[in-house]
Amino acid sequence: MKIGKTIGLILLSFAAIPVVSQETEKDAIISDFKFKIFAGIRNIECDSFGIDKNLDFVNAYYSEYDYIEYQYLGLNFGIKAWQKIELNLDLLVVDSYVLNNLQAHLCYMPFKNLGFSTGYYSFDYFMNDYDYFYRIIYPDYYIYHDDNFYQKRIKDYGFLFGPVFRVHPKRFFVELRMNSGFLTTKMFVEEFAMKQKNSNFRQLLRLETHKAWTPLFYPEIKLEYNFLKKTDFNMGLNCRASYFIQDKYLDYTLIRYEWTRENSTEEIWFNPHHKFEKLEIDLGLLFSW
Amino acid sequence: MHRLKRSLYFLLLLNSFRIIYSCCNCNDSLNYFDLKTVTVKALDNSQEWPVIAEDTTLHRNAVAFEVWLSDEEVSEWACLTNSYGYNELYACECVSSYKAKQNIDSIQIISIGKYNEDIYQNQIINKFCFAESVYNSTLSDLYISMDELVESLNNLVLSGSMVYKFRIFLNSRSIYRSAHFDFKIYLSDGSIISRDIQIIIV
Repeated sequence: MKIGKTIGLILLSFAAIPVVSQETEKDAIISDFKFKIFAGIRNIECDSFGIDKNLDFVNAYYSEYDYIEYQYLGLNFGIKAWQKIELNLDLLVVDSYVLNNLQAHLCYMPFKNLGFSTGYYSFDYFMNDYDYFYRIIYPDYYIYHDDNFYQKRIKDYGFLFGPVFRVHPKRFFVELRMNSGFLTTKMFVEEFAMKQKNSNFRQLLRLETHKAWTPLFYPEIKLEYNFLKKTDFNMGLNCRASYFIQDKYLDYTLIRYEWTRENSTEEIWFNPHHKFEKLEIDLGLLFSW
Repeated sequence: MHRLKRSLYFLLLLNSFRIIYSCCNCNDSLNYFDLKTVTVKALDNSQEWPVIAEDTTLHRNAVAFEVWLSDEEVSEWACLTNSYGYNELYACECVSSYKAKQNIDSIQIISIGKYNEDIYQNQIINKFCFAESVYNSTLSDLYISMDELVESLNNLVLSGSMVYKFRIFLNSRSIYRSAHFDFKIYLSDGSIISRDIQIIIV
């Protein structure tokens, strides 16, 4: 829904920019349009520590070694304005039928091969079987949960900035973005209800996560090859690879209710940092005019 | 012959429409009934799901009861048959809504004998009890207090049944091999309905 609104705003802002001149490229405010469609794979690896005193959600981030966990389809829209400013929007569909990953970049290119970009980034991934912790530490309890299957979609979002290097030999276009920035996990609430075996005792643990802004490093390389080059229309192949590394942790407030929702105690749990890595590779077609 | 066939087809068609009409002709007004009787059953809550116990033997840490409040005759299934013909046939397909004429003022649970160091003979034990309504209980939630139970029962509209059902759970452990409780329901018309139950504790 938020992504839909963002797309709407960006399209509106496109419409609000007057495309004044078609006569010369130099006079035009908006001179280039680019559209890409691509498919790719994403692999996530995250440190998993052993059972500690408290539930660490990051231990349960979905990571299946030897397999690619995620596949995606993507769309990219790009425009160039005033010859030196570029706006790029990447929308990805990852393991669902909605556009749930977004990357928007505003790039300023004062030099032919060097520029600076800033942007917003949000992406999804899954957390699996995170109830195992309570099943281990409370063996004499039946544990209930809202969902039958313990899988939850996690969303990270934040801001990126960094230098952009590019070369443009003939039909090729190569770009390297050295993105850095800060990302956090969108806050969520999980509840675990449990009943003691051979007893009437019931308790409910409500975990409310906190924001956790941490720095990241996220280099991206793009390679484009225009196999069809006309005066006002190009068509080509597009390939992109990116690597993402961040320290992730999730602290939360644990509210423990015993017997009824009236009796509660509250405590804050701090969790260790995990190394979180993400690799993406995609390939697609590009159209520019 | 031809006319007879036509007439038969016509009658068949006419009656088919009547079936369709009667099956959807439900009375959705609220029906009131008297609360006259209380039934208390021992509830085995030692496992994952509470189930009505086959006998009155309960686990020491899981003493629980299921209580039914109803009219004189417990009729779980009620249908309106104040019509005739096909309407009467299909009236039971309709799920009618029911509510007690009286409100519940309070529910008192009394331990007739001594239960443990905290619960003495003839003591009201409401503060050691938690509850849940059978109609909106989920295992993923907690119990409600006795006051909340009374409030929820008074707001409850029953669907297709004339029995209020709720469960009572004790949070106190017995030190004896048996226990005896009296359930008293105080109603808004001044009447009191009650039932006692004796259980064996293991």
